[in-house]
Amino acid sequence: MADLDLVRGTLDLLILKTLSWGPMHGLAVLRWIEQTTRDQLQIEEGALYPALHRMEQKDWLEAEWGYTDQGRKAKFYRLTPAGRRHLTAELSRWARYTSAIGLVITARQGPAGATG
Amino acid sequence: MSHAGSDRDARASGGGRWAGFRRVFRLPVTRARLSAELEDEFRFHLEGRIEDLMRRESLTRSAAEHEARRRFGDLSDYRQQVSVIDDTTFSRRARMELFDVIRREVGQALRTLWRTPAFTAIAFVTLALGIGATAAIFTVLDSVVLQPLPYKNADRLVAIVHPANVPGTGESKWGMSAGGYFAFLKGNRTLDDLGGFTTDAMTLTGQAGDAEQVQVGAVTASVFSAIGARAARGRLITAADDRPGSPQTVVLSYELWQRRFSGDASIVGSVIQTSQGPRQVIGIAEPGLGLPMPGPFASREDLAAFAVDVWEPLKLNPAGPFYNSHQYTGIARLKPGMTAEAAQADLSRIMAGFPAAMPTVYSTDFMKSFHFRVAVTPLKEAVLGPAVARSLWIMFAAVGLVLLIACANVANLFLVRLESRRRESAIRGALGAGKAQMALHYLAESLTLSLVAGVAGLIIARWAVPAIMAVAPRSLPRFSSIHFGWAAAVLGIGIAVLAGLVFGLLPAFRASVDVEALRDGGRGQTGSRGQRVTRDVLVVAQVSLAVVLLAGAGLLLRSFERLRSVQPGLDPNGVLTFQVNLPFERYGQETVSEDFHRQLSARIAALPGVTAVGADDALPLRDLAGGCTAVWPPREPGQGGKGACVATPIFLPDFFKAMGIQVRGRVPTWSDVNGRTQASVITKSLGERLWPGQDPIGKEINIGDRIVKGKAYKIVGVIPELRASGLDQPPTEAIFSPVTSLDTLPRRTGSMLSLVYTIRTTRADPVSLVPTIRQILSSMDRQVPLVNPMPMSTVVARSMARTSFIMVLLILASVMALLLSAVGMYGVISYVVTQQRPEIGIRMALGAQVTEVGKMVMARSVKLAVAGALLGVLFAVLTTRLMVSLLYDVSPNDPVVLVLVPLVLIAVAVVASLAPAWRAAKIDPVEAMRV
Repeated sequence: MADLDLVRGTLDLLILKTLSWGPMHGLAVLRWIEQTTRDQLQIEEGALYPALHRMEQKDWLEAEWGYTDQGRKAKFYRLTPAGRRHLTAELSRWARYTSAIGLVITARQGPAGATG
Repeated sequence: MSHAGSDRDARASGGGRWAGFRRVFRLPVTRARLSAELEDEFRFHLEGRIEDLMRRESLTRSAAEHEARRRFGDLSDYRQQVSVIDDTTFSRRARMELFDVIRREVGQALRTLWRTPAFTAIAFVTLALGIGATAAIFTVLDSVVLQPLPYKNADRLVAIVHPANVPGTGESKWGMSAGGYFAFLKGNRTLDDLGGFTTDAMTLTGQAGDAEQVQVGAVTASVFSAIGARAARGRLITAADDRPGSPQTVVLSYELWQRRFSGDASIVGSVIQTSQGPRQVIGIAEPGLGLPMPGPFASREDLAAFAVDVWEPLKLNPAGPFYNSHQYTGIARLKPGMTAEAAQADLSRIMAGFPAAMPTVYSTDFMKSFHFRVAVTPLKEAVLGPAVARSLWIMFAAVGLVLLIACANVANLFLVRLESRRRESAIRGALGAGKAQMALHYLAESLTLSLVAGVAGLIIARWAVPAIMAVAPRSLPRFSSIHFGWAAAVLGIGIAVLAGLVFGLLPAFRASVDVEALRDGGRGQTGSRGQRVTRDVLVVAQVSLAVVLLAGAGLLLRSFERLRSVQPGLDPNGVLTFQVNLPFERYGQETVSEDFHRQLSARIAALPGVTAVGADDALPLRDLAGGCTAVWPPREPGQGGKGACVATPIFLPDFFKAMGIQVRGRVPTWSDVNGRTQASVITKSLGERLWPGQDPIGKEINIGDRIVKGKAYKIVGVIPELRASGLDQPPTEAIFSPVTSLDTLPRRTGSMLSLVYTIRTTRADPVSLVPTIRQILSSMDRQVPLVNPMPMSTVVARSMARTSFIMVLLILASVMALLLSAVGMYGVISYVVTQQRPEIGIRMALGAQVTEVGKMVMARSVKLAVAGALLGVLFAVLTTRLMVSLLYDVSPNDPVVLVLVPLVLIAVAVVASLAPAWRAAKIDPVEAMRV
């Protein structure tokens, strides 16, 4: 189930994309990712928080304490306009990255004519 | 898939994204809060996870906990990581908020200040002038007195001189003799390096330009090692170059090399032509290298920017022969850990052995009767001399007083302003503005104002420093090192900040809610009693400080007047002086140089407008200080006799006529020179000392180093006292002999090779003769330059320069203080009148006369001034005694000054209160009482 280790640096991308749906607290981000990847992605949960705080420092996120629907106190994060712009840039970079990898992986010919 | 029952984490429906959440907590403001919040965040996460696991996977609580923690990862590690990030965020945010606050407050402050332009302008100008003056004087003080000398290990450098009590002349400072130098060198235990130097001049002739007079530093090789000098090219003088009989070598200064030889590197190793013969250039010194002071016999003119152009070795011979002539100032570096006192004791010990080691040079008789000693002083002290540091500190104190007065003025202005905003701030306070908030506003205003004023002041200082240098006496030591630097800038800003803080915190001494102000229906009263007393105290303080300053300036002014009335013994009007230096190689023979001077004198005398031409080798009021030579009347064998040690200049005929010196008896003429009669002229007091009660004319006298076999000098004339250097120095005794005297001293003393010509003319400006005389000189010998032309009146002025410099500055400071005090008093009285309008109106309605009202206003002002003046006189009496060394013939408690100055202040107070009194008198009672 959880057999894909997360490549470093993509955690930021995941968080940003998750938050693009709306403000959430850290646990909510995690749950949504689990839900969407059907638990296939293994994230060490604590790593979320350095990432969140770092992105808040860079002003990609804004944080505010609030109450959940159940009345519990939680820290909510949301995207700033700068964060939104960064997300767009990262998404396109990801697309280029994966397509480049795809080119290598789906190649029909190896070097010097060897076929595999 | 949904998380049944889980709390809704994301808000999906419309409306503001945040609207659903209640913003209860703002961002944390302390680091402790931050870490507490992080704990909350982690706890929330873990709790939520535990619930998830218990629900989804039906774990028990403890199993769920275990699993949740496992999935979370290393809690303390993540906590650490986040803390680091949060710390950075926190400090960055705190900084930004600080900037925001500052920007906001400064903007607000500027707007408020702009709304009261009169206050702002006066306060600004006052502070700027005060700070500017202080920074400017501090620059001079710092550069000259506080900064170390520009040598390596400058704190271990010392100067070595021989103080001696010359019978007839008084205390004098002599250099070392060659014999003494070698004895010290061999026997000392406290010095790392010991060198001796003297200064001289020579003319560079030949290639690369016209004949040019240059300053020469004649040094032992050890001088360079003592001061840690380095060469820029080639090498400096070494011990080998300093041996007697070694080739004639010189080192050029960097500046001379650039200026005259265009920085051509090939000059090193080549031979240049000088007035003293050819010299080989062995190196170029590093830029800026110079001697700290001139040698013992140099003229006072040279004291200041003594830059050496050419360095040459002294080539002293350790084998002797040694003479009792002391021409080499000693400079040494102490061994680490040694003090100047220890070195002095060490050298005194060696000196005690001089009579035994060198009996012909240092007889016990000589040592005792001249009270011959050795003094080792830290070099900086020796360079500055006793008076300079004190004078500069006094000037700094004076300008500090001006600053205090200026600050008192500005403080008063702020207080007044505070009063007029009482209602405004009372309303604000009643409406809930925090006390801290208002204090911040006031502080921002005063800091903004004073910082801007501080910067303006620094700009003023930057401009003022060159102006001060322009009027400073040339003899100010380390003159060339004065420049505006960081120290003054730091001081200026520091004062501005301090002032801003003090002014801004003034309101803090008041009640927070000023109900009283709200209760006044419209016009405010005079203000709380505390306020009034503070203002009055400030004015009294200002006046007293101004009195002290004015007293100081007044004393100096009187000194100056006394100095000017001192008879210099000569008449400087219409007299031109200049120096003529003949090169040794062609004029070394006395007859040759004599001929030259004879011819030159004749040709100059023939010029229209010239009434007398003379010359001597030491110009009175400038060059007569320094060494002395023993003179004594011829004795019968076995008979003891009187003697004296005096200046023994040589002169060309008509010198006395040219200088306007009255001679009783006969003046030697050219026929005395031709006939070698050795007729001499003596100063009156010397004659009285050597032959008490008799007329010295006709008597014979021996001059120590010029023994002509069998023939003594004959006195034919008597002249009044002359001053050796400054007019403030006691008169000098001297005996003048005509140029044909023989001379055995090396270097310049008594040589015809270097004479100062004195030309008396009927022209209004004596300097206008210079071009013509230059032409005559070059037609006689192209390679003899005309050096240092200046009117004698300038020489006289320069000899008073030290006193006049300080006096000018102190007078400037006093005038500023006076103006500031006047403005201060005017402001306070004005304000009081304004505030008291209703009362005055009532009085007038009740029948008070106009003049009565006016008198009431002025009386108040006079009362303040009298109080301040009395206090000031007290301070003045206590402090002016610090100025004694600057005064000439004036007591520090001079009654004239101490009475006049307070009267001046009181008069100023009266004048300052005239306008407000006038306004008070013109008050329309009906208008005034209308509330």
